[in-house]
Amino acid sequence: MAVLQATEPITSANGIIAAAKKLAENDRVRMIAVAGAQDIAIVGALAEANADGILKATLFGDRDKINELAEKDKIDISKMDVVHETDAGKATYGAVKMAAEGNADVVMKGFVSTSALLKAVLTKEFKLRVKNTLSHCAVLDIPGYHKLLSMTDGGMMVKPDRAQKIDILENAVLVARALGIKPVKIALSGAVDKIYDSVAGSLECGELMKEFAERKPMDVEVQGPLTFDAATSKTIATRKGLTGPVAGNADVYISDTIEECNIVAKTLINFVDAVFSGVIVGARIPVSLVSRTDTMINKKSSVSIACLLAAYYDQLGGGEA
Amino acid sequence: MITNFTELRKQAKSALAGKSIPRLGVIFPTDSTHIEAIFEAVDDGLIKPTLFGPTLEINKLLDEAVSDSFGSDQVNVGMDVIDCATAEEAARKALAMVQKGELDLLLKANQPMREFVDLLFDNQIGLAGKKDVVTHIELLQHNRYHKLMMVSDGAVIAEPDAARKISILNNAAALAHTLGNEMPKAALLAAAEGIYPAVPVSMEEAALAKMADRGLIKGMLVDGPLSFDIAINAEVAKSKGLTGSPVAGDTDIFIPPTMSTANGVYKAMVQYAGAEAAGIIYGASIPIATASAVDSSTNVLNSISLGVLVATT
Repeated sequence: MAVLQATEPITSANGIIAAAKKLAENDRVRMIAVAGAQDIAIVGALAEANADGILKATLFGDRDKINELAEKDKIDISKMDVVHETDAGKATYGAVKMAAEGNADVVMKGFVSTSALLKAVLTKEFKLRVKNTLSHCAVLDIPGYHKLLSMTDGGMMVKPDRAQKIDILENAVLVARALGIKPVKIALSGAVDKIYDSVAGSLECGELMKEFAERKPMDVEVQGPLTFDAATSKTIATRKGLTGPVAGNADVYISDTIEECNIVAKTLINFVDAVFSGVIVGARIPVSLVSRTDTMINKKSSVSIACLLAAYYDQLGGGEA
Repeated sequence: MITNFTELRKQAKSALAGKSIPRLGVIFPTDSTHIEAIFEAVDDGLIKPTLFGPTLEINKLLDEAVSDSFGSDQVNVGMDVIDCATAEEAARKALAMVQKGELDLLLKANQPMREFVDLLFDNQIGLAGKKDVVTHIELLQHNRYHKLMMVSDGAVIAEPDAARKISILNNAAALAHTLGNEMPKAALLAAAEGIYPAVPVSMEEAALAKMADRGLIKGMLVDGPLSFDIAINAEVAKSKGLTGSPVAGDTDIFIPPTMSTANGVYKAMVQYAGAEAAGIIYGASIPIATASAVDSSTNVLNSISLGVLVATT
């Protein structure tokens, strides 16, 4: 399926949306199963993405409520299937089961709790579990940066240990691959650009770097610790006298803690109007979640990136790199 | 209350009235960005500088700056240069001069921040003991926010525990007081506003906020955990059902949980959001103005002004 492989890396949120549309035209339209669809922000975004030809959707949720909300906001849901289910647990189960049976490519969180949804995804009977770490990847389109920057993990792992960080990194590589990025340049975050005895985090980063040196992952370059500015600006990296394959040119920025990723990404979203496409990675299917406060382009690029990732998993044959 | 850098520079100048001009030691100013800022500060009558670095290189930069600002006929700019081959040598010589009481404040230019911080705590030549509370504070100004933002600590205390976070809060509040903000509002930042036993950061921040409620942290209002968007926008707080926060939407002091987070926030603000900035290391025997590789000469001048204001207040 050479047609799926992006020949040029995708470099913007609009590029993600356009690629998902092209994927639907040239390959097949991906199906999104929504758990708890009585959430107008989500139905609205899906209806628009559906009208754009990006995806199809099956809405598991309270049919009356969904119809009522759609009518009120004048959203056309006639092109989407609705599976009536008033119980949140059953709606979640239904959506995940649809994906597990191969009839949906992406599971999306609606009006259900994130933890219940992820628990369902990881349930043994569905065989969707690949590794123990699910992580959230926020692919940011930052005005002023020459390419996309995936920041991870700002949503799932509270304080990842070394093994979990490796899982987070491998999950981010999958997303980068789905975006046609090769080699993937990964920066490990720091408040410093070198290892110092007085900075515990930098010592830990050094240990992680050693582990990668031994693993020699294909087409992946890792460098750290790197401060945010040194990771994303050639000029600043040069001013600081930093060399290395990633400095100034990172595709992925792996944060030390959930707070770091979340806070820095929100700084960029609020003050720079960075558009982010978010997806949960680590299971055999992508899990999509958007927030009510997200902008429309943000929501559309989020569901689009989930479709691209699902197609990449199809290519790999089951979601394992 | 100072709400922007123009006011800050004015305030620094008026604080000097009737006092001698502070003696500034500059560590390794080997680029035109720093030299230009120093020139302007001298021109403003804010500082009397001594530059520590490679004499030849610095003199060349000084000559260029002179010809840029005054035309080529004036060459004697009267700046002392103390020859130092490396940034470390520059820092050591400058710190030694501070210890002799010959400098009133420092500007850390082109020395990696951590190398300087490690020397600052050196028990021979340092300016702070292990028990001293020294923190880095970055001041930011952006047209999307209605007042100055303070972010701390992005450079000195790597992974602060609760006790260190209280120190970070106290130093930031003290600086806010110097800027005329009597009761600054501090947000302890987290990924979300919820308090969860499984999320240690949220528990610690909630406890600190409780301490502040009971008057155990004084001179400021503190709330946390707060997400970044709640800290800057009261509407977001409302939409998440968070009511009664005295800080949400009106934060002066932003305290992220770790040094790399604080560093990432202010670098993102300067590098991508184009925020004006000033940095200072606060709590050592003298103030240390700081600038990093992202900063413009305006930001360096802001940092010097902030240092002068702290040194003279």
